[in-house]
Amino acid sequence: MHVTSKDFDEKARAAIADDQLQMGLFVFGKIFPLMRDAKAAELPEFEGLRDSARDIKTNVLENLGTYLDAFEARAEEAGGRIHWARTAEEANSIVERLCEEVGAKDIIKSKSMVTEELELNDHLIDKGYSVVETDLGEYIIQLRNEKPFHIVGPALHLNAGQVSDTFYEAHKKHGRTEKVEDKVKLVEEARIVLRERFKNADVGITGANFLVAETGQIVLVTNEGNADLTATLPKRHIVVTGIEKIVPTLDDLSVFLRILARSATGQDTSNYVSLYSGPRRARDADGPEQFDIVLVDNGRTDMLGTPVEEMLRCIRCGACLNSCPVFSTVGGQTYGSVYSGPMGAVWTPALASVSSAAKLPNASSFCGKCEEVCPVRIPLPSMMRHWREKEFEAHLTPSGQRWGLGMWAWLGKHPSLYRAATNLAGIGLRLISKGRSGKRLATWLPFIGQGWTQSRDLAVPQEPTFLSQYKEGRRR
Amino acid sequence: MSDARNAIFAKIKAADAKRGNASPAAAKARLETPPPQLVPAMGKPAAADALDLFIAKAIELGCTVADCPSFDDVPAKVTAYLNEQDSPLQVMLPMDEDLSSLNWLQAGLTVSAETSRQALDGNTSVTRAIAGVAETGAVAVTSGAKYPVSLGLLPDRHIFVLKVDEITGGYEDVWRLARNAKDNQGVARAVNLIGGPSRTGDIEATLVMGAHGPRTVHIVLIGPTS
Repeated sequence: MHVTSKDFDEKARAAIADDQLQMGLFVFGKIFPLMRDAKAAELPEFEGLRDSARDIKTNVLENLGTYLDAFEARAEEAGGRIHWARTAEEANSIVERLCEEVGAKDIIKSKSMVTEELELNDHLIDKGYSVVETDLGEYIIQLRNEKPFHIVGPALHLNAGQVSDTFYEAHKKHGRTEKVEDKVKLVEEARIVLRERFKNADVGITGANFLVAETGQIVLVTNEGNADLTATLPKRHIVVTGIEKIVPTLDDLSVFLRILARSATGQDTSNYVSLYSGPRRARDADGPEQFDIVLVDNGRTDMLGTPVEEMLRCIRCGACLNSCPVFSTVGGQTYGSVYSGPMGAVWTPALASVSSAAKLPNASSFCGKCEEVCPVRIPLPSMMRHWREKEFEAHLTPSGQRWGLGMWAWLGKHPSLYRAATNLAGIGLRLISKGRSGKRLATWLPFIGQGWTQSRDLAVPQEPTFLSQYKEGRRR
Repeated sequence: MSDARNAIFAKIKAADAKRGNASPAAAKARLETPPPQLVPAMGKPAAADALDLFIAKAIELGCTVADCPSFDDVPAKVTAYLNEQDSPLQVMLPMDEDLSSLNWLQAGLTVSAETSRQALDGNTSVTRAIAGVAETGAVAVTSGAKYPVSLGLLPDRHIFVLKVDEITGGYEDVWRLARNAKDNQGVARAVNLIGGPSRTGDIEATLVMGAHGPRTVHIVLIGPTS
């Protein structure tokens, strides 16, 4: 996984200055949380279901080996083949070999964050395969050569005009000469182009939202039905998924189906909820001849038994992104990783490294909204705090910040000096401040204070100080 | 056993030892006898409410629903729907006696059992379902000779034939039906819950119908509906 999170600050500045993006983000940040809250309120048992979902996933992580073992046995009984991959390289070469086995040329793919993480498309395209994403959002960003903006809505940062330009250029070779701008017509055009790909593909690649240990089924949840076409039409269906996606039984699965769409898009249910196991049976009229599942570790087992283990409960609904004030100000691509927002701030350092992604857990105000909406109750802020601590321990924190914190700590241990310093700072602030609407505000600060006053004013503390009032025994 | 498999399981085992909460026997027992989970009231409606709830939810999902007194009346209902849609009077059927034995010609319909991609693309399919799910308004189907999955994906219009007594409460009822329908390779290859026409919200978060699959989903509901 290529991570460019080190550029977070520069990208965030650019994103804030991008008026078009800001307009999209404003709508996005308002509508999705409202829809989620409305749908959650319609289901009186919603909070109870969240508790159940958390408990089921906790049980899964404590018994991961047993459930994976059972899943493998059931999936093989159904005629599927299971492949295990420790790393992205291993996973990519397994998929490549599977495509080679059936002499494939054209591959269709349904949206999968794991394959984004593995950079599977790049790998297959390098090897000469044609790979086409079929989720509309994913298809648009593939044509634009971008990373997903959001784990659920990969192209939500673009407006219809941008999609129109992209389609106009890309679809010329399919004989489309008319430029369409209407959203309905844009969807129709993608349908026409992708329909031919569906009908002619040799291999279909999907992810899996869940794996059911009881039955060996993989579960796909979409609104477009593209995953079902991908799983049904080509002669080989390859599922690429993370080992943490397992749930024990179908009854457990129900709990997740009831919270997933409500948390993600504010729907009662996604339009297509599908369970697949194995290749076509003797009596089946259609379906793939071969069914392969690639179970990917890629850093997940490294999280087991650590303070970020609970992150493996994540069901990729995106609720934490939708409700995050940082995500809805800077957008997903600023994060420089396929996983963005609060969940990305915990996943990315775990999968890549703290040194490459330390800016992400730092880009949080710890408002706690993400934890409040997480359907599996992942304590996201405390995990981000864990990475901040790791960053500090590894001496990755910028020297200015380390020096500042060191000074602060030293002063804190010397109360008389601390008081003197804060008094002095108060006097200084009052000297350079201006009165405005009854408040005293400092609009310009020297040294590191510049960073603060560049974008906002600093309220100046009032006199007398708390400690001097306390000494005089003044109470209100 | 592959090296990768062994390595992954070794790491899981090491984490189990560190954490100390693993209970393999209990986990295996859970798979043998799945413990019931919290089922919301919506997922277990009273029998008298299930039908109304299903119809209301299905319409909310963008389906259309037509009453039909008996199986014999299905072709006439299909003709009426296709006329309303201004669509050709031709339907693609699965190899399902329930449906193929009906008098389609009399209702003015041309029937085809061809399931090739070209034949299905853009047409109308009529299929049977295993259940209507009152909790969500989705219709459940399982793959097999009687239901080629592509019949529900490639045509422009998909018509389900569903009996009133096939309407169930929630997901749990569908799993019960799917578990019972086991063949020697376990549950059916595909268990699909279809909640109306294919749709997308990927461009400016605006809902557009007819993304990849059917543009319309029509449910012909057989039996007393009032």
